[in-house]
Amino acid sequence: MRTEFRLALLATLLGACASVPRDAGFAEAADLAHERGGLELVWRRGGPEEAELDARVHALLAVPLDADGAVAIALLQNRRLQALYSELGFAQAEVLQAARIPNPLLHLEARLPSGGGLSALDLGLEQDFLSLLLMPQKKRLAAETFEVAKLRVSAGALELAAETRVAFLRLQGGEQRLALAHTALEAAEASFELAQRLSEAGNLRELDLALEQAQREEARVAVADAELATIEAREALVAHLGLYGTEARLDTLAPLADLPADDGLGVDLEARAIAASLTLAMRRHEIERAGRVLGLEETTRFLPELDLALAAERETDGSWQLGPGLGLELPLFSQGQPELRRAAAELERLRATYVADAVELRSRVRAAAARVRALHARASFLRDGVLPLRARILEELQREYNAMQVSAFRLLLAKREELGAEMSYAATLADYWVARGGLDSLLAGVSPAPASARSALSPSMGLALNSDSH
Amino acid sequence: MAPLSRRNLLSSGAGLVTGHALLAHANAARPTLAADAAPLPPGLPGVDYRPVVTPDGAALEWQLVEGVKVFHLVAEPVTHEFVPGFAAECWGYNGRVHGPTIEAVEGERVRIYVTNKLGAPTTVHWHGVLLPNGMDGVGGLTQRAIRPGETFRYEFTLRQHGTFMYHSHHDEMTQMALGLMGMIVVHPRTPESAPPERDYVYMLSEWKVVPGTRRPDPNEMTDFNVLTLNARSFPGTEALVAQRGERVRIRIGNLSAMDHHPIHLHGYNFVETATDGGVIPASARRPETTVLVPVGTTRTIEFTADALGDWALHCHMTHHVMNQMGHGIPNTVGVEVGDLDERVRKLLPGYMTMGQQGMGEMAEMGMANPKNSIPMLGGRGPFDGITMGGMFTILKVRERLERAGDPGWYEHPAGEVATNASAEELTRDGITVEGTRPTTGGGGHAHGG
Ligand SMILES: [Cu+2]
Repeated sequence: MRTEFRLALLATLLGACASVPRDAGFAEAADLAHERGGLELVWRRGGPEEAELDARVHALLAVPLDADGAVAIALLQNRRLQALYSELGFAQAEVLQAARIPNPLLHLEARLPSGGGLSALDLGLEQDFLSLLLMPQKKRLAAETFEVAKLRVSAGALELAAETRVAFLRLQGGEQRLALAHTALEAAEASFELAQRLSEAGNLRELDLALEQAQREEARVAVADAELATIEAREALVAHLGLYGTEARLDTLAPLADLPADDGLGVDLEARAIAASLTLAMRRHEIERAGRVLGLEETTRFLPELDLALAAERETDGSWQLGPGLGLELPLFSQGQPELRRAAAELERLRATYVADAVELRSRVRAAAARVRALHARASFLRDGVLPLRARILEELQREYNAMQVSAFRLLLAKREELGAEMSYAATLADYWVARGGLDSLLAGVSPAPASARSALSPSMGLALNSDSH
Repeated sequence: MAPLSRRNLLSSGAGLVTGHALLAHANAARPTLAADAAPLPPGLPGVDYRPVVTPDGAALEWQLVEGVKVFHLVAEPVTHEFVPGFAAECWGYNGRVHGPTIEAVEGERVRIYVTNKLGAPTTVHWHGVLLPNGMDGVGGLTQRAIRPGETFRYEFTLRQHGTFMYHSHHDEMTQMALGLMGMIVVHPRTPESAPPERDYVYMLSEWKVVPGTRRPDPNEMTDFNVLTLNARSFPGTEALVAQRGERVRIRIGNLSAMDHHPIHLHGYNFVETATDGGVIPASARRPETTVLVPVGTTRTIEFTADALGDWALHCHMTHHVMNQMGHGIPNTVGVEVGDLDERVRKLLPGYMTMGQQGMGEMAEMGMANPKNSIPMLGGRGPFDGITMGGMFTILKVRERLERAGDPGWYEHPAGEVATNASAEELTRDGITVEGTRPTTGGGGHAHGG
């Protein structure tokens, strides 16, 4: 049939203009994630390479896990990230949709003559011609959407990496704190046991025995607190890693990295973060798209809805008449004002939001940098000031003890005070690396949700500094 | 010591006939020279008296100026060593702590200049010396204090003989706690008997020096931790010596802040012959082995050195023969530590529980102590560690003393040293010994290091 032929030809002509990458933009998103965060993104879509990817995860778990290893596992195993990759498919569909000619509308109308005989048939084929005219603009809209989707994938991967890093640091810091709490408990137990032996020899008041026991119990509470915090930190990490079963145990972690000599802050932080921000990049595409939407509305405002039609008519006498048709919307009552207003408002909203986002980002960068600086200073004070002093105090108290100037209880308390300082340092060091990671994320263009896991800094060290009373 | 022969003594006595006539009859309770009597000519060492010995100390130098014996005391800060390895920033006189012994002779006129090189005002009081009220040296009461940089003159005639003391009498608590004191010996113009061959002088005092610090704490009221003979603690104290048969006199003054000291001499009984009030009448003397020297007095004892050996001379208050040991620590005597020490050493590698069997072994353990402190220090004896410090010294009596100084450890005649009883001895004397293991405490392993 001629009509079919002509329509098919049209569709082919128009469809050839819409091109979508076969990997749906994943390679571009992966490249950006690699460029910004050194990440290796792998889209697990089944197939023979799955076994090899599983082996990679096993290999990473076979050695003491460090933060980079944790990130690598998360990129391979976290299925929520894999689900995000699928969003590229939705955006791809939109692009394809934009490139398609709307399907023509076929009318079929039969009029039965009252007196019998042949019915009169109207056959009509209508095509929305305006859509054809606007197709290039719509394709550009879809392209913006697709860009946003790719950015969203890169940002999602970078955010997952950042959050995994935080979770890992929280667990590292927590385990260090737990180990120190155990040692502090040993010291408290030794102190209590010495008190018991003094008591058995008849040399100690019940009061002093009770005071020592209270300290031992408090040290136990501190261990219980540290244990719970470690369990929670491990679960948070495991969830990010996408592990379960025996692989979720994570028995051996590498120790926290040492504090670097300087706080590691670069220059032009705000400008760099603004330039890098994927959120702002997405907003820009959205603004671009909204602008195009507005432009489209303006284009179509006085363009009447124009339908081209091909009509075939069989008369009751059996003869066919063929002729063109034209459907025309008369813009008498509506010239598209609501559509125009909506599009303009959307553009205003996006522009204002963009500025707000940028201002907030600058603030977050300053706050993140200040936090890095402050935690670096705090960790330095602890490492270079408090820890050596605690060690020296312990050494001097050992001398005082040797000279029978202070009791063994005071000496053991000093040991616990030293352990308390070490706990404080471990917590601060973990917090520092978390803060560094947070700032690095901002400079890489993402703003991961503020780590919900509470800071490793904890006031409860289980130390009651009152045992000088005997 | 300058030799003083009987002939010298007799001749010096003969040369003082006129002076002697002015002396009232010997009566310990009253001065032998009237207050308004003219002074006698200055007495000279080796002629009019045999000088005393101040162990670890010195005598104050003097010069004669127109018949007056002139001394010069300079009050000043002094870094003083109590024991080798333990020193403190003190106040003393003429570079010494305590000040040098002022030695003079009954009846002579003395003029003592006092220069104040301290940062604080001071005075000097001449404890026990009979003198004009305005020379008594009590700040505010009998004179204004000597300001820093000033030099004051004290001058009086010595109307009595005996053993006295001098010390600051301004801000006494601080200035005496820091060491501003010394001894005064006034020899009799005419001794009632031949002077002893050995005449020693001691000042007893006590200090608070927190281990690891370098300055005595004048605010301490009860817990003194450095107990001294002439400002030295054992094992830093010089030994006394005597040859067999010699007469020995020991003069002991006490200016401790808060403690009297019962000074005990081993191996002898002795007689207390004088106080800072004067000679004790023969009828009032009694044999003693310990002389209590109260705060603010002097006591003089005498005996004949007829027993050979190394005899301990010490305060009998046991806390006064310790060095700097703390007292605010739990009592660990009799405590069974078991494996606890092993476990604590995992946390504190240098740790051991101490004192389960007492303090005796601590002196020898050689553990690290606070710098500039002697908390556990005892002395080394010929047989073993000596578990005493503080107010402890040794009287060494020998058949002959070849030369001045410490003659070394006594060599005991065979069989005259207590030692482990042999099985034969025990059997012979029907002594059965059961259960020799200690019944309490952690046993020897606790001090295994
Ligand atoms: Cu005493």
